[in-house]
Amino acid sequence: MKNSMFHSKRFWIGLSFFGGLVLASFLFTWYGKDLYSQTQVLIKGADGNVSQSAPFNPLVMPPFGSDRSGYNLFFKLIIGAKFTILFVFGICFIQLLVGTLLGSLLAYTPDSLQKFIEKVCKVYFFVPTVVLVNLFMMPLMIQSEHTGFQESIVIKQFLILCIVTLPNLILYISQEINLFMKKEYITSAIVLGARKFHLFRKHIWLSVKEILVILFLQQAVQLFTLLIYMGFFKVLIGGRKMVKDPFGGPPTAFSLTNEWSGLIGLNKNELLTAPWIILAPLVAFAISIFVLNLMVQGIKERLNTRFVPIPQKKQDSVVEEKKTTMSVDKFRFANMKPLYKGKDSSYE
Amino acid sequence: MKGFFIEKCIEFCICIVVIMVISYVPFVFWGNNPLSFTAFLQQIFTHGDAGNPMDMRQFPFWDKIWEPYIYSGIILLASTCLTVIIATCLSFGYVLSSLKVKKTIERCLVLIESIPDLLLIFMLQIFFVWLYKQTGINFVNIYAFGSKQAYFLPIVTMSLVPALHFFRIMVLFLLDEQNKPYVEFARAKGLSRKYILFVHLFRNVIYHLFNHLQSTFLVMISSLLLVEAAFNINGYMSFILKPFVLNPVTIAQWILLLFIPFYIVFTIAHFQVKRTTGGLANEK
Repeated sequence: MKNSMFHSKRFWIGLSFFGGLVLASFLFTWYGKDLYSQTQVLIKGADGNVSQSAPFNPLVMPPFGSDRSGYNLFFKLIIGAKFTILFVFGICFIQLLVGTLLGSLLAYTPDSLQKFIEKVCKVYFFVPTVVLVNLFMMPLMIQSEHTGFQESIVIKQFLILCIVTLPNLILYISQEINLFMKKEYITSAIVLGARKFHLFRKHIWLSVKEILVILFLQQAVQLFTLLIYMGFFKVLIGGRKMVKDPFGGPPTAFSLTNEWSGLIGLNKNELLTAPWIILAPLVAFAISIFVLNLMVQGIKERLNTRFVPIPQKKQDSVVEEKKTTMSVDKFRFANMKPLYKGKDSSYE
Repeated sequence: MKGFFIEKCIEFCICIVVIMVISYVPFVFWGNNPLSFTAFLQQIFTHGDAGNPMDMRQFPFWDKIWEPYIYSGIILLASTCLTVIIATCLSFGYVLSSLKVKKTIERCLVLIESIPDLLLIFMLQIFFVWLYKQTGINFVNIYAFGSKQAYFLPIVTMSLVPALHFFRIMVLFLLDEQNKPYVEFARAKGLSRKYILFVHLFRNVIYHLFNHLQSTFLVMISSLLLVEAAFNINGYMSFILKPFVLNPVTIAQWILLLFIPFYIVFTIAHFQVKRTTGGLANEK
């Protein structure tokens, strides 16, 4: 297993990045309470006069500055990291579990059913996922405004996110398995009398296993972007709290968990006055997506070096696969028929 | 060809049913859903929501949606053109450049692709505000405000991310096409690389690209939603975010309005591609 993904440096860097972040986040919540709960609203100059007030820019309060109520953004981000990261990875994990199961079941169903399900899922290619998520989440959001933070809300959101992005995954996995089924060694295994389950366990699982890791990371990237979108539209993980403005303005929303996407959506209006408040969580998202992309790249390179003929990207291989099967079919059936027909017609 | 259209019609009907279900189901979770499913179906196919006196906030959907719809259509069309142009230029540059340049481009791509489009939008907004502060000249409209519509910045921001996406696909196909024997033959005849790329490769690749336009389309639609919300545009996509839209009939109509035109467009494109290439490029 010299070329397995565990030998990829980028994979380990990424893994330690996320692990470290979550660990730091937990440590800070447990032991560093005075660090993150401490607020500083005013900075006094040497002569005792107030020189600056609350949203400090990153130069005054490194590394990310502070928000309007004086919390240090860096600690806020770290505290929120564990929610965001664990939430996303948890969804990915559950999705892959369910997706692989259903996807492989789907691959074994008759062709007509597969086509039907494909058609049902076609809508997903026209309606952005954000809209669907928004639709399903809205009732929950309004509920959370009344009840405050509840674990059941988080669980419901978790399930909604799982279900909304699942169909694509199922389709993808079943297509991928269908492709493997067309390989020659599978045919010979069937000829030798392999049962369906044996086939899956011994042959297909081996190839699917490798895709799953990449799929996991890609799903995570997708979910991170989805979270940004959701945060922007004020759909927050763990619900939101509405606090009425004492001066009669529109009620402002507060995140109940402090996770990253909430920080974006709630501080939208600060963009022109204190841009760092909103840019900091976005940068955090960008960094995590970048690390995930790096991991995907590292694993792909490892996998590519293993096979002697370099496998091309998926779409191409699908095209070629189909082409070869088609030409075989033609050679056997389609080519013969017109030949006989032509002869017949000429005799008539 | 007849079979093709029949299949598409069946697919279309299935999709319509799915849309109905999707727009109805979330409101089951609301609990206090005023509409039964049959009444819901009836209302969609009659005319908007005007017939329901229960809710005071309702308004004729079609009147309200028309103007934003056209506006969003213009933005979408313009940014699609821009996307294709940018992606084409980039990929031509990529294919014609040397190995060293290619590697640096690939490195940069990973970095650029990781930037969420929201960050891009905010950076551009901040940049133009900064520019305005420095020079005192208002180059572009940052926010749509009242009757003033923002065109330039939304279009640019919307086409950047999909352009990269499209560029990837294009390069993939171009490199694949480059290994085919006819390119070698053309090279042997003494045609220049540029000529082969512009005339032969591009012409052959374009049909593959049509099939992948759909995935790019989804990227664009979701970034349109974001752009409209960020630039305060009263557009078609941001219509869904308004609180009074949250009733099943309006949402079903909204999704149908999104789905039907684009489904027809993609079906026609699919058909055209199939007819010219004999179905080979359609194998997905």
